[in-house]
Amino acid sequence: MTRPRPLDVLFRGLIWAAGIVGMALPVWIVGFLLVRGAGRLTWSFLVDHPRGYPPGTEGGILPAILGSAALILVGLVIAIPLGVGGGLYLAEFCPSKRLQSYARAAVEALAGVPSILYGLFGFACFVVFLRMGISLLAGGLVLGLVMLPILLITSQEAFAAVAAQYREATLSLGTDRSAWIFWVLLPKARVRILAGLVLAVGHAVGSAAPVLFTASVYFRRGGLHLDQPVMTLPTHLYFLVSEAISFDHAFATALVLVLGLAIFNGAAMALRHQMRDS
Amino acid sequence: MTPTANTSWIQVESLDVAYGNAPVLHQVSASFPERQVTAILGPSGCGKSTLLRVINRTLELTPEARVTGGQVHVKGRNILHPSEDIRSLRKQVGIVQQRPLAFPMSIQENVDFGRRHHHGRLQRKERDRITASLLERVGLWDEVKHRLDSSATRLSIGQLQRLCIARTLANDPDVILMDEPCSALDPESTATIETLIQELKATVTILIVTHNIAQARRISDQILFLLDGTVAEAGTNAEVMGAARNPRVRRFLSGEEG
Ligand SMILES: Nc1ncnc2c1ncn2[C@@H]1O[C@H](COP(=O)(O)OP(=O)(O)O)[C@@H](O)[C@H]1O
Ligand SMILES: [Mg+2]
Repeated sequence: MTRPRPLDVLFRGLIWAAGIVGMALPVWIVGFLLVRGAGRLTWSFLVDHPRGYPPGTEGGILPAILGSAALILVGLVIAIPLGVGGGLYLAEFCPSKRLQSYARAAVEALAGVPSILYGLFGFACFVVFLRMGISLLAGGLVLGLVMLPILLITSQEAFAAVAAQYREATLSLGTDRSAWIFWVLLPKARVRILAGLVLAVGHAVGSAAPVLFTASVYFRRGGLHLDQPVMTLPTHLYFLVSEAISFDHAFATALVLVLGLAIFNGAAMALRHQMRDS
Repeated sequence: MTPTANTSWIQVESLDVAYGNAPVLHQVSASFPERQVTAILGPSGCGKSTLLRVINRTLELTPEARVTGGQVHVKGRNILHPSEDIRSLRKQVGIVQQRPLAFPMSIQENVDFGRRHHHGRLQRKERDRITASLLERVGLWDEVKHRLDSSATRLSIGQLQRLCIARTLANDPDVILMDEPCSALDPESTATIETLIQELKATVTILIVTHNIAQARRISDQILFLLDGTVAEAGTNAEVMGAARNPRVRRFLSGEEG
């Protein structure tokens, strides 16, 4: 047996520490939310409207839950076809490697743009210039733009990860490209695309900045309409805290956001499992 | 562009192929008689798979691969000509690739994939009958008859190899190129495939790459031996097995070199 070298010991210690902190931090944050928010998290909190004065001191957050879900849905209507289609184009149709790497770099840069800039762009472009006003449609479009680069990058990678031998096997039977894309490439890539979708939705649903000037209002009665503003979970949370309205409700709202994401992730994982089997 | 004398042959003339700037086939000329089995032998990396992939034009799906010279005629058609209908060529000249891959669909749909594409959907009964007979012929029926509708991705590699043969047969090709089709099969399944090859010979021209010298001896009428991308030996089974002129080929055939 040789004596372990001090540098090895140091590195091993650092790696362990990083691992423990990395694991402990999310547990700690969620635990903290649970402790602070669980008391307020009742059924009526989920299905009631904000009440009291100022609204939010009592009642629930149903409109914010519905608003966030609706914004994501509108966003996905934009982001899925453009993201998956764009990824397919880059992976399968792009004529030159150089164009592919430029496009890829541009999309990566887009993914790195702070989300407040998306909000600002959405306000200038959709709300003002295209006269959509502060609305579900405008905010959904902005969230679509937020999700687009993430989805495009992961889709491209998902398509590129399908071995070229599958392409050759499919086309060697004399089939055409559309058969390859629809019957082999897409089914083989969809598990990874779904993973990208989960990532994109998780990122978008929790961001307040993109919807702050484009879709959301602090309080609103009435149903969801594309041309009307909505309440959202992150902006509701933002107002509850920044206006010191109710810290208990803020923690409960944060918990709903986290649990909603957990449920969404769980559903995606179940779907993924099923896809693997088929 | 002169049509070859015997229009029923596959005729390869002075073929040069490179991957990027690295030549892999150099001045390869060979003819493959109709309704005979030609075994293609040679050490790994000598260009056997590349040659097969030229003949049904799947080589061009590899971006860096280029045919830099020569001609290939199949039944008198100059198949490397730009106006060639590649899809109909690939249907007519089927390939069983070295690495068997399942498409992400059921066993039944895998077998039916190419056929459905070329001829359209069939009545369920008719389709089931065709699938059963194809799987029967490749010796896979008994293993999969109870799970035709389950995913093909869970088959073993030996099962996949036979599935891929069935998938190619379903296209009803005139020529079948087989790239080490028995490499993952046990002796019993190998015997089934060898019997199948003998049956197919009545209607189909077969080129088979194999590393199994005994198999080549058993099933082939002709033998083409490649070394480093060139033809080292070509002739009938008896000629090459009995009296190869090239000393490396002789050593290879006697098992001294692999
Ligand atoms: N896609 C490729 N890119 C570059 N070189 C390749 C590629 N495919 C095969 N080669 C090279 O071409 C030569 C012939 O390959 P191949 O035809 O597969 O040989 P074999 O089937 O006889 O083993 C080998 O040296 C191999 O490394
Ligand atoms: Mg090979």
